[in-house]
Amino acid sequence: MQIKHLLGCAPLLPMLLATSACALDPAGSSPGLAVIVGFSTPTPGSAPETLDRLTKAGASDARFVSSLSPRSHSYRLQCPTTDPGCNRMLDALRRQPGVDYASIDKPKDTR
Amino acid sequence: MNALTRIGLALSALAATSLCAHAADTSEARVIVKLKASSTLKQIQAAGRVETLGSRLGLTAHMVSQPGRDLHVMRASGLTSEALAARLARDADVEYAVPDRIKKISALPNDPLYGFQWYLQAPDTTRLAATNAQAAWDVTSGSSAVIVAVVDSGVRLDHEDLAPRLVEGYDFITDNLNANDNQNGRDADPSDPGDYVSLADRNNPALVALCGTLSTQGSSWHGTQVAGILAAETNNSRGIAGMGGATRIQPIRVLGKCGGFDSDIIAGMRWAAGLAVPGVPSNPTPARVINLSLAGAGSCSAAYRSAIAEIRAAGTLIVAAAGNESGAVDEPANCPGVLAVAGIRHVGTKVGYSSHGVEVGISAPAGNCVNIQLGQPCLFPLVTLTNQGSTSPTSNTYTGTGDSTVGTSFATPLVAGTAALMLAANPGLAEADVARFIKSSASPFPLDSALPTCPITSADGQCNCTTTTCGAGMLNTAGAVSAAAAAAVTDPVASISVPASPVAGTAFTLGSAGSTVPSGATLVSWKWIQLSGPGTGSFSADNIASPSFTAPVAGTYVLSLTVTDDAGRQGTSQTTIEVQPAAAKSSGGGGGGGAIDIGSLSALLCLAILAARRRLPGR
Repeated sequence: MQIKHLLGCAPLLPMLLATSACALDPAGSSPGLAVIVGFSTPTPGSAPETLDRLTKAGASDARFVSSLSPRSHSYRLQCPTTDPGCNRMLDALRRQPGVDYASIDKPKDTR
Repeated sequence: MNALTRIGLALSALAATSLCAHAADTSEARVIVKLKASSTLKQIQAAGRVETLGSRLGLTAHMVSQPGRDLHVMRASGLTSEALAARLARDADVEYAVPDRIKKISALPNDPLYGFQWYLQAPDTTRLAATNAQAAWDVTSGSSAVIVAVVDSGVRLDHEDLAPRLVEGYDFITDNLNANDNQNGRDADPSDPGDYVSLADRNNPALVALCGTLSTQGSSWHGTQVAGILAAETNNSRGIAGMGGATRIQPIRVLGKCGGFDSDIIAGMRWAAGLAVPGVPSNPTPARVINLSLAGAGSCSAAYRSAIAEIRAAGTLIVAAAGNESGAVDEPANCPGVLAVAGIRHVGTKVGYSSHGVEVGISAPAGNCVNIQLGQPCLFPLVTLTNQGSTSPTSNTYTGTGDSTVGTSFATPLVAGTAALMLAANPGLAEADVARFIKSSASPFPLDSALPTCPITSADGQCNCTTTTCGAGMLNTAGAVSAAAAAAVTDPVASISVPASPVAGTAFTLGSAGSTVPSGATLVSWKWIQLSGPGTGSFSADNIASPSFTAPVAGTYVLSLTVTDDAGRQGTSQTTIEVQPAAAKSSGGGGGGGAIDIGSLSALLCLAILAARRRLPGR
């Protein structure tokens, strides 16, 4: 996964550095865009066919992170270089049959 | 025998009867009555509402006090509190009516720091925002069967004032760097290893990539602090009292070095409610309430909306902190179906840092210091449990007036603990009812003429709360728990009405309109039975609300009615009926007078007494 990831992003380094969603850290490991995807039916979150569905929406790479429920999972998605803000990819993801929603996986803190 | 002598003799005879007995009844009824939200009586002043309710029952009623919005304590003479409550409960304007019973003076908790827990005590002129949990504990001391999930940074499992109150939890932090627990992803250990950020952390590119910019900070022991306010063991001669009494805490760890991600928080919330989370064992003790003392900017996402709908459908209430930004309500408190908590000062005005907005459901003390100079004590913080370790845990301890334990994080467990007490008092209460009673029992916000009205704030963020910025009012734990207890589901009560003088051989109508059912229920079936009598009577139908009954001969008949509501609960009542002989057929001449019934005789005698008293000299 790490090699694949580097191969995918290395040629695009200058452009990626300018984006927040796909920014590379100094060590070269890009966290990607954290997304929660809700499916309309129970879906194996880490199955290759599920990851394929995400890449078909435009993600250059999709990494399963964790499950929230049988129908919702979190991923790290690499945005295509042509969509640095990831908005088109998210829109495409939301339009996919069987996808109920795609929400940014945002951080929370104590209050 | 003059008229007075005759009346005196008649009075002696009547003294043994029940007909005039109520005139000698010296009972004093005292009842708490709550008006329905739709009641038109709310258009008149509170004292007038009580008088109107009394007059409908033929009583002279007076208002004693008004402990909450639409709640009235009323007093009337000549009947018991139970009888008055039962009669009021049938009034279309009344949501509930319960006897206002005397309670013994309860001993205060013996926890040595209880004196500093002003927010649990009765409100007074200085501390208007105090929740009066102390009075609620007279109704219930909480139940170990009620579990509140604290979805937070984990807790110190070994804190002596918390350990007895804990059930199994879980650690949902996926990322090992953020988790700081040397375990691989999610695990069954919800203990808090510390959420400090060291210089080394700041220089760790992987952690920076995950979290963004990091500032060096010590461990907060935030989950332990929240859990302590909610359910530290009470009356154990140690530390503090918890709002929820015997409530148990389910620690669910979702926040680490740089907070936590929605994906882990939502997974933890779902698990707390007993819903499935792939890869995680099922929760053996699902929670009735989820406490979220966490937040982040932004509108409510589809991911939260979806999870919250499922969690509420499972019957679990979600209580969340509005945020400390003095601005718009944060996510997830701004999500539909969440009971969002704003923070107020000890005097009941919005505390400067608290976020506010229409999404807020209730306000509660969040802690405020008054003194802001270094070295001066924080006068109104919330006192709770913590740990002395600045990075990794060391010895357990308590926060004090030297600490600034303030924030909507700490107002939230006061509300969650109140919800837990309500569920202890009435385990059948639905999630939506808990939120509804918390709001309807809230105390009105005070007005400080020196402050602007929210959402306009003073320079330090303070303002006078309104119901569109700080929720329904100030948390009133005693009122909320009383309302929950009063709404406890009871069996229906069957009531039979019969005409004044039924006659043998003639059908007369039986009524059951006075029967009562628990709030929200309806009667679905009726069963009439003749239990005894000189002959076998007949019902026009024995399974309807108001059949007719024909007694074949005169005499005493005992009838029974059993009513059943839509939840299958039943109530049975009996009535004794004196059936009069059929009038002898006569060809005219007025007949022989016949036997006068006791009711008519007593009515005549009462009228005669009144007439005679008017004629007595000196009156």
